[in-house]
Amino acid sequence: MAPTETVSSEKQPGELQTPAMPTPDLKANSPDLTASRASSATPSGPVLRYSAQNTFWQFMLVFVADLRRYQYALNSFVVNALAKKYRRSVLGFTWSLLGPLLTMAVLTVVFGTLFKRDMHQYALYILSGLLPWSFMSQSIINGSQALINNETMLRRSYLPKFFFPTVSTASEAVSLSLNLVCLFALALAIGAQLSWCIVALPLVIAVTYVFTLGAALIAAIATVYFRDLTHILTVLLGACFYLVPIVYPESMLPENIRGLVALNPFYHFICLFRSILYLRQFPTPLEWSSALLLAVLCLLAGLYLVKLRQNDIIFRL
Amino acid sequence: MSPHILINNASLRFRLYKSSANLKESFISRLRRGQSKDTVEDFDVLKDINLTFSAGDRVGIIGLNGAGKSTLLKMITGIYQPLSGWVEVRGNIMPLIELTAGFDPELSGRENIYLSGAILGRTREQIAEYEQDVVEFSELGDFINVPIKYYSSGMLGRLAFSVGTMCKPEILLVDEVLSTGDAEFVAKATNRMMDLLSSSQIVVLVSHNLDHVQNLCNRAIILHQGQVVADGPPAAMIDYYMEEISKAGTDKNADAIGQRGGGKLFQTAPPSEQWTVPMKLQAVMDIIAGTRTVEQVAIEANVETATVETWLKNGTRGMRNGLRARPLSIEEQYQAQIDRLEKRVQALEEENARLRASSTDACAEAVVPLAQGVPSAISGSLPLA
Repeated sequence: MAPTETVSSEKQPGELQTPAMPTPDLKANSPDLTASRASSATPSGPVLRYSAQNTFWQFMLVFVADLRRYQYALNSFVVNALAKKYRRSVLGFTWSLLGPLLTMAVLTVVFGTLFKRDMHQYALYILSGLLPWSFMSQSIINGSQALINNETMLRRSYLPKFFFPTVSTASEAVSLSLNLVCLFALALAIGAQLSWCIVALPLVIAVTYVFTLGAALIAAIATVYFRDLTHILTVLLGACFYLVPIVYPESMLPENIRGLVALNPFYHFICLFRSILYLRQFPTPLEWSSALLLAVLCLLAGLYLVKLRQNDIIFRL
Repeated sequence: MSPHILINNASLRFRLYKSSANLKESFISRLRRGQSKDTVEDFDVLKDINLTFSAGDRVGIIGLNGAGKSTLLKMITGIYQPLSGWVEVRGNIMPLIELTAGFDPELSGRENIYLSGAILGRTREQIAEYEQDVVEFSELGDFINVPIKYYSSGMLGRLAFSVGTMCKPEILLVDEVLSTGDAEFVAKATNRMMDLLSSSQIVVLVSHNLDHVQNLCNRAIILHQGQVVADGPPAAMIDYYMEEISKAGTDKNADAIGQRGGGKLFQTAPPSEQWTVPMKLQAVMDIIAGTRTVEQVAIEANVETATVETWLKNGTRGMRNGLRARPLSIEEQYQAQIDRLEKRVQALEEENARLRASSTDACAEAVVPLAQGVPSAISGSLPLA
């Protein structure tokens, strides 16, 4: 097809009404207008603009706007995901509480006997590490499937690419919060004291959520390109479980490798939970800042990957 | 500001992966880099699309399968982002592309109303406003609270159509959903659809049904191999499209139709935008009357003389319709009957000659009187002959 035969349709067909077309102005302003779907709130509806060239800053604006725009969609997907998970099971949602409790019981009995520890304190120790750990690892594994499992949805309607990883991470976060309530009940039942430090818990959950969301986004996009990654992640995270002091006390590690534990990013978040729930004290500023830094970096890395790949993903699903 | 869609130099490329990407294969192919097995095929779905749709446009997009029609709609929706160039959409957009897209089989009909609204970025309050209307329009009754995996396909179609058409958008994108629903639902659905088409400020309609484009649109665009080859009034565009398709059909190249290999299609220039059907009709009538020649018209319309001759021979669609609409006079009816009978006589005579050449004399003599008898029979019965 010779290009000369292509009819340029910039001009209006003569018989139609021709409102003053703002085409030239828009073109002149196009850098400002790029990604302006966020900012404009004309009564006639949002301006959506799709183009290949976007800076990361513009992408971030769109990200924030999309978070607000799809707020209700995110909520309802999370509710549906949780409802579907436990629909028709006899104990329903209690399973998400029973699961970690039973795991904790097994671990406490096995390792408590092995390490000859006081069972009451040890149960609390394990649970305070196990809950954030299972939140992070489950979110990453589910997140790696999030884009692939929702291929049809992504192909048929416009949804931002971060949507499904965010949904899977958020539903895990809801489970975590409910599990924590269960933990408090247990702590009171076994006579442990809860300090007023738990007021910082929402903040800790938020920081952990930010980190996990970043990791889930990276996992989601990487899995689109390498489908085997889900299986690899399952194995790697299973190994990681024993690299972080969850079932064993940190003091058991030999002095010379204790420093290496800090290289594990998960360690910092488990530290936050542990110091509040088990040690009953505020995390040190160092613990706060290292976790916060990690979380922000991880989320930025995840979002940057989304920005790089968001136009390509749909063709690779 | 009135709604608009601007598409500026937008191109879209699909990557077709011949083998599934997994670690093992990519590892092996990396080891054998010397052989460099090419498993990725780039495929330009849309090439340098430049289009402007503004308020009042009812655009029909026509083209062969795989021409990129649905992809163009999906690009306007934002599902596919252009590789280069940009697309800008101003106004509330409602894509009626795949109506069951946002549905979750595990959830009830009512929950799905909320879910599909949420996917479009609506809030709970906005959806609650039209929820009851959807329930009533879809006539699902108590089934609305049953998970949709138990629905019949008709029920699902009704729910999907009701949900999709409940809001009145400024920009409506329609992809072959005009005939959704079961028989009882169709009349109601068609009414709703027409209502929606007339209330939307911009309609972009993809349809293989050219009558829909003819009747519902005021502008038609022909897409071929990812490019806009023609853009103009629907009647002229449909004529051009049909001409090109039939050309390819007689080209002993029938496999060109429906395949992306149809590179021979749409090689001739599309009809000029100024030459609308009435103008063509006038030209044809002038030629018949002798006030203009075929060559003059060809130069004026900037087309080849052969094209003008085709107009003359076939008439345009509008002209044919016009002739059909006018009742024939008595004389014309007689003339038509005489033409038919003369044709029949001619056929009989030819048959006679053929038989005479090939058969015995006895056989030939039996045929001759019949052939002679017919013309006299006509002249006797028709006063005009």
